[in-house]
Amino acid sequence: MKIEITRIGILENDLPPQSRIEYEGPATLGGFLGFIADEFGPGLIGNLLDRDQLKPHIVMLLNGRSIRALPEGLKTPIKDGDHIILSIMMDGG
Amino acid sequence: MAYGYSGKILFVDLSSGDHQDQELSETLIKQDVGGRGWGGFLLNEMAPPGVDPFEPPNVLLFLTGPITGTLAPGGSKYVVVTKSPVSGGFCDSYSSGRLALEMKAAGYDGLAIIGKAKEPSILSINNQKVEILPVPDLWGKDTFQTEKLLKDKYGEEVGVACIGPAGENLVAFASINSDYFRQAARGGVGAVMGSKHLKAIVVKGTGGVRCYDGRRLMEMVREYKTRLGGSDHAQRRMKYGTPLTMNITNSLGMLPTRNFQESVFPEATGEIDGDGVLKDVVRHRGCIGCLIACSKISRVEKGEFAGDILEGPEYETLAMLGSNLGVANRAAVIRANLLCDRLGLDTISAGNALGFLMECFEKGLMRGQPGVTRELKFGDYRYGIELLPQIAHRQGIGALLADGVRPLARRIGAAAEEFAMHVKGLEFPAYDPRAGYGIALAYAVSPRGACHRRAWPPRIELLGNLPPDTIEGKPEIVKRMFDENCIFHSLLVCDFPCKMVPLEVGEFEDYLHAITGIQFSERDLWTMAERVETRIRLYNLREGLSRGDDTLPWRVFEEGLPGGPRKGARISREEFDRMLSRYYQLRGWDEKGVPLPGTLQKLGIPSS
Repeated sequence: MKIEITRIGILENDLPPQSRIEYEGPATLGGFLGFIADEFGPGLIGNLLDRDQLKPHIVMLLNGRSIRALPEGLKTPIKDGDHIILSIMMDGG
Repeated sequence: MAYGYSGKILFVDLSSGDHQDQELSETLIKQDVGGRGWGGFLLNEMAPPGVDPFEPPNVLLFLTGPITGTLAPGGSKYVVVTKSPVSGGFCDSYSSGRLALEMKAAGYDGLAIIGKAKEPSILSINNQKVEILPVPDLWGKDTFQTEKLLKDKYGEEVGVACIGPAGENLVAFASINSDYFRQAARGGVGAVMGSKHLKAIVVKGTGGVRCYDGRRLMEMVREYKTRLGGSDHAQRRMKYGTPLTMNITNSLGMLPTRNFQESVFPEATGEIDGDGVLKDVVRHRGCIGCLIACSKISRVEKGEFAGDILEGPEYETLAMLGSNLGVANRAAVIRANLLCDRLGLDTISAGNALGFLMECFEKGLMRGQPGVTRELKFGDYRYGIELLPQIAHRQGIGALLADGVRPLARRIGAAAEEFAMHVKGLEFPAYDPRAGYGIALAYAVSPRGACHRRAWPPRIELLGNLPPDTIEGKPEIVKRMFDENCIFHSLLVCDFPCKMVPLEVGEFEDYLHAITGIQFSERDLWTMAERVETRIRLYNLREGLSRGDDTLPWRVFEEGLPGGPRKGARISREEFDRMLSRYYQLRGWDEKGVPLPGTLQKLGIPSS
């Protein structure tokens, strides 16, 4: 499947700002994160997660929905064409 | 007052020229803390009921807080409070700058200004020496010229707050400027200053803030600095500043685009978002004493605006003078921002006014209106920039825009009112409330009108654990955020050091004790916030605002978002009403939004 990924304000050394990634593996958010860590840099996971939980200042969105509001969290299924955003938490502007 | 506070406010009557020091009561200090808290109390006390905001009896307050002028993080803020010419109700508008520190150093926690000077004047404060001085030569000067001339005369180390031509001409969205690039911009505070013939305030103090336990304060500041250095969140926000917010609002479909007709603007990517703005940044800048330095100095290197240097642009400006006008030209946004700063215009409302006009033209509603010589189209940044001085000087079509979106919509008619994006007359900030129902409620119940400073619900409902398109839990998070920001804005500490490091409300128990020697508990602070919000509600009710004013424009209820991740989203009037009623209930107000007797008693507010 192809997954579109956008990073905002984080992981500048690990990922391009926007990319479409060909992915074959466990069809979950967590599985995909593991894959891109293998592909782009093992430090990536440590920047995002703390004991399998998103760090408080990190945001992960699947098709515009925060995974914090998704009941299955990192186990949420993904499919071809999904868009994932990885961002720093915002507090206004 | 021994520590932290000066314990007095300078009261000035510009009509008579009289001035006197007024003691702040210990009750006011302990119950309402400072800043917004004092503003809620003092406006109720000092502004006569029903006063015209532009008439001399209206009061213009410049207030600090206990944090101001100390080494505590984010302590160079001040707030301007007055009766708003836009909403007719309570208005608080925040800025930062040397003025705040100099006020404290001169021995004042605040200034209360009534009356109207016979001719254009400045208020000069040098410690206890207070003078009202005519300055006919300054009238007509822009804010940069004004501040420069005043600093040439009084020295670089003075605090200045001044207005530009927009304030002189009573433009509804005129700002008050400090340190050239910092504005108390919302709600028409600059116009109230102009109505008093007050061109500027210049303050110099040689005292300081005595802290109760300076050693403990230093320990806390050092600990804060360590946390700041170790905070990945803070470091990244320091790098990008507020423009990064556009990356997320654009991605989530909440970015005002073409007068809120759309909520996604692909052209913004890499141009007017966080990544785009970084390309022009030549250095970072912080407010006095701030370790975060979230502000950026941008320089335009090439093109028709080459050579422009600006502190900014910030997110709100990028959105309202950028995507909201269909403009992705960063240099054009910088030029428009610079012009607004010089003319003394609020960039948020200016962007709304231009966007509204563009849509009026698009819909053919401007025929026969005075001053119309040519059409303003979305994306036409050159004509938009040309119109800004016309707004500030009330010339040509600018005269139509100078009173803001609501009066212009009423003039044009019902068809235009449907897309006049304001609450209580104050134009929308840069978040489309259809993208998250909490934003909708926060805009509606904000006392000064549509406002992003009382609460920022996207943190929870778009980036956190609540879905955006339900009403459950939204009144609760909006109330909690209002109260938290009321605490920060009464302490008068900047939001960013608090929210990025973070600094929790409870930690200010220690800061306040070290600074003032007064033992404020966290519970005291949350109760203070409840009291202040209810007192401000009472003020707005007294001035004729009601539940009917806590609402949103037609577009938010009736037009679904046309695209993006939130395609089709709008909020139903029924769901909105349920949120509003629940919010009132949480506040201890009745169905009409009137505080209940038991609430007043609990908060220690006299029922009269």
